[in-house]
Amino acid sequence: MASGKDRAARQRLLERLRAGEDAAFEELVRDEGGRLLSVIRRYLRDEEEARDALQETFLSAFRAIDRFEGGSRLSTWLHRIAVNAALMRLRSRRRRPEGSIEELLPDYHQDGHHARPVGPWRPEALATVERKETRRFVRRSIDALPENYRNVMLLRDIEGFDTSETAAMLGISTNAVKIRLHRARQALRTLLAREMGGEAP
Amino acid sequence: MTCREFAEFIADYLAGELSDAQIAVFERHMALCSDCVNYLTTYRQTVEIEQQLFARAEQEVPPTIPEDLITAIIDARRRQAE
Ligand SMILES: [Zn+2]
Repeated sequence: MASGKDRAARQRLLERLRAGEDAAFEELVRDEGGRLLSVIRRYLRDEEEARDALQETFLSAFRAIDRFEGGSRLSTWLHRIAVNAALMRLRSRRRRPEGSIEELLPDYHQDGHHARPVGPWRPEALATVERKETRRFVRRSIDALPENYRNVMLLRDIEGFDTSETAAMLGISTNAVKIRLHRARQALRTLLAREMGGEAP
Repeated sequence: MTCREFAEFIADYLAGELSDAQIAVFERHMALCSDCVNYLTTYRQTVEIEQQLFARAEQEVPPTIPEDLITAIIDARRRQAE
């Protein structure tokens, strides 16, 4: 991985890229392609779409290579371009009607207290996150969240973008980012609770 | 503070974005309400599980890019340059 190269090697690769060297471009695709593809697959579950978005990522990066500032890492810069390419594809796609998030939020009594007792999750259930079936269940649960909530959660919790970066990438307010992040985590918590035990369905 | 209000403070609490006064109110509710203690713990565990899922998936299957996709990308760049 280019991210595994030392500073001097990264600098040399960048110079060759700026010089338009074909071999440098191929090296970049080989070094970074796999990692970026798995980032893109978090957003695009269709493999053809993911491949197209990866291609767009490299073509955009190559067109903009002169504008890349050496201050940040090439791999960090590419990561952002890849996420943007995936989000762009989601935007251009015709929106499927999405389930509401309301039904996955906690219920309260009129006086504002939890409508049902909330228990801790069973330690044995938490330990099963090591297992493949449990991870598939977690992934399905994330996929089941409405897209505009899921994307905020991925950008904040997984990609590590901050609130204002996320807001800019999605074209929404920072307040909307905060609300959607919280709702997405609450909804995911409700879905996971069904497997982790501790409360009535 | 009610449980409903408590839940709305959780994300800011975990992000360290509450004032001292808000933290005091938040923690006073926790001292009285085991439902909210459990809710906060499982909310935090949810985020941990979410983060572990992606970290682990990549540890187990080191990310690779298919050869034919590398070729397709290189060809696309060549076409663009022409
Ligand atoms: Zn409470």
